[in-house]
Amino acid sequence: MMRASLPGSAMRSALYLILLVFSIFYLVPLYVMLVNSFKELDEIRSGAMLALPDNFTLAPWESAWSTAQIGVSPTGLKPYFINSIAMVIPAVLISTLIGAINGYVLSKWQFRGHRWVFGLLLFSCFIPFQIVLIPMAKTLGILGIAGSTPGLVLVHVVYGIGFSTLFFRNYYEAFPTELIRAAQLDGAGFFMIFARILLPSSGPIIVVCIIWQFTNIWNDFLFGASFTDFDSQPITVALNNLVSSSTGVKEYNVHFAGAILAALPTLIVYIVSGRYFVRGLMAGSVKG
Amino acid sequence: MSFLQLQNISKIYESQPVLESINISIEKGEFLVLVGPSGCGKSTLLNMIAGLEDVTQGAIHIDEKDVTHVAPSERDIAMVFQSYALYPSMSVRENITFGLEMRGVPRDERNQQCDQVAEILQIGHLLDRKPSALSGGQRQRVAMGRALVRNPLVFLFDEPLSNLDAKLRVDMRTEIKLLHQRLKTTVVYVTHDQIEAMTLATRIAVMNGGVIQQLGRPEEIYYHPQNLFVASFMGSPSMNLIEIEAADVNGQICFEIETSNGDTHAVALDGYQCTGGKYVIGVRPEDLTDIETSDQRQTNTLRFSSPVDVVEPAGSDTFVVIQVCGQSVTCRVRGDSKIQEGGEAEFLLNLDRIHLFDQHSGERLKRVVS
Ligand SMILES: Nc1ncnc2c1ncn2[C@@H]1O[C@H](COP(=O)(O)OP(=O)(O)OP(=O)(O)O)[C@@H](O)[C@H]1O
Ligand SMILES: [Mg+2]
Repeated sequence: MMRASLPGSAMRSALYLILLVFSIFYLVPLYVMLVNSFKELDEIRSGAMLALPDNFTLAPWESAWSTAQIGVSPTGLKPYFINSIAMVIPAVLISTLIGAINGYVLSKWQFRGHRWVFGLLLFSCFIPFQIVLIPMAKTLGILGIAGSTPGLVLVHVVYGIGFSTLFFRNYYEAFPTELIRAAQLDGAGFFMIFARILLPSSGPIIVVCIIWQFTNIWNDFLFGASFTDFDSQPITVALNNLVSSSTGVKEYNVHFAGAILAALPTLIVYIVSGRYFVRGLMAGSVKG
Repeated sequence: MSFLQLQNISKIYESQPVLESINISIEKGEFLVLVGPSGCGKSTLLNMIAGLEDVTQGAIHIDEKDVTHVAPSERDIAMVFQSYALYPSMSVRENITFGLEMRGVPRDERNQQCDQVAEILQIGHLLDRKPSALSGGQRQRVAMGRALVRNPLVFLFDEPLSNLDAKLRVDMRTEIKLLHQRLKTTVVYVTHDQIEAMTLATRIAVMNGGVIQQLGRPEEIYYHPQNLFVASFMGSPSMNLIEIEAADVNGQICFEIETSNGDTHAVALDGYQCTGGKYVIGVRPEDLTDIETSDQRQTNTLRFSSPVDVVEPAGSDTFVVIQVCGQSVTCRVRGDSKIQEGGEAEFLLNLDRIHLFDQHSGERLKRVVS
């Protein structure tokens, strides 16, 4: 034991050192964005990117939020942030709910050809975004929701169902079938069993699915840019317009603040529920 | 028509037959035990009675009603599962009353019935706990409570005791028996434990390979096994099966018992309709005892002495292994027997209790009482 512990602790130190280096590597950009978003533009131009701000100012944040030039109008990111919220909440909830019901059916109410259905849904996870752009645009046009928030919600729901079904099916696969049978004998029907027996035990996988869908949908740029008009653009597209607007000087401090604003919701979701995320992934994988 | 009737039930899973023409009918209040080795189709049959599996062929009647294609919830049956299948997110009380709730029983009445059942099963102090905070035995009780509270036409049990430790299993067995005597509800009970089958059942169906080998009262199964499978499956330690060759000696069919010291003893097969040839005789360990243990009322016995190979004390009984016709045979003698390994002892074979089976078909040969 004693002999083993010496190289063991050396290994451990080396491991921690490597981890430290990597965390710095990943955190430095965030740090740079954060400190510079509180500086005035002159101070940034003068060089020292890594230094703390001399004159602490909130002006870049205010500008990014409510006055900066986005495309043609000086609205700041605020309306687009609201667009994103209005798009991401229904998209996440609907795709999670449909995924849960799909997973329930595919694991506990198997029908002829259920493997095929699941296989096709899985396949949809691996279809590159670009391939569906044109058919999707056509579909939205036919449905009359092109260029609107509901249209974008539909796109994300359709695209998200593959993954959410995968999550829930694997989770429910490990769920004891005898429970379903017991509930059937107790007189509960299809939806009653789902609502009263499965859903209350699905906490971890719901969290996993919501985090996954939320980050993907919030961070999406391509669909947002392809399927929306000016008044329904999500924040990712607006951020791009903010940063690449060609008029006047580049206001790096405003850009930094805007980028952080755009990333903030996903950051919060991870910090609040990150530990459930890991736990949920484990629960699904170990048993299934 | 009987209370519970299974007519010609067959089950085929993806072109593989699992059950073949099962016929069972039992009266109201009976306790039917389905017993058999793992994979013989007991659970499948039970699930078919419950309506959880489709019936490939045949019909099921409960209480005069054809329920072959009736939904599980409409059959008025309750089931206790091997894994107990308690709803993990609900408290014990919610678990017990869920079925009542689904049937629209008002809350007050639900709680009242739950309290009643909890008292019978002595789980009143557990009602607010979650299943995860219960021991195995407590979970078992809750699972029974969930079935009891519904007051169904038929109870189905699928190996309800197999997850309990040995002592608890014996206790719960007694409790289930008491409960059945008290409630007199019809029960179908699956187990692969033949002692459970013998103690609980009013009727036993011994199954093997998807076929019912024998259906009868426990004593019929034990004293008149219809074939070699039933003979060897029921009883512990199991019946000694000795291959013998019968021959015609002066107009009487006889076979010889040879012990390892070279002695031979001729035994006449009185009253059996058989000719010479190969047969298997079955002897339960308790029908092959020593002089001390033997029942003095027995008259038709064969007395012989044999070297003793192994002595296995088991408390109340001791099991002694000797060689008969070159095969190991277990005898049951008193727990305080003085028989020594390596020594020689005298044994008594009760000839009224030997079973004779055809070696090829494995079927029992009838004895014509003379
Ligand atoms: N869904 C299924 N698909 C195909 N075969 C099945 C299915 N369910 C059960 N079987 C087969 O049916 C046979 C009977 O299974 P069953 O579960 O009824 O056995 P059992 O007697 O209850 O065994 P045990 O004592 O181990 O519980 C087994 O050979 C099993 O492999
Ligand atoms: Mg079984």
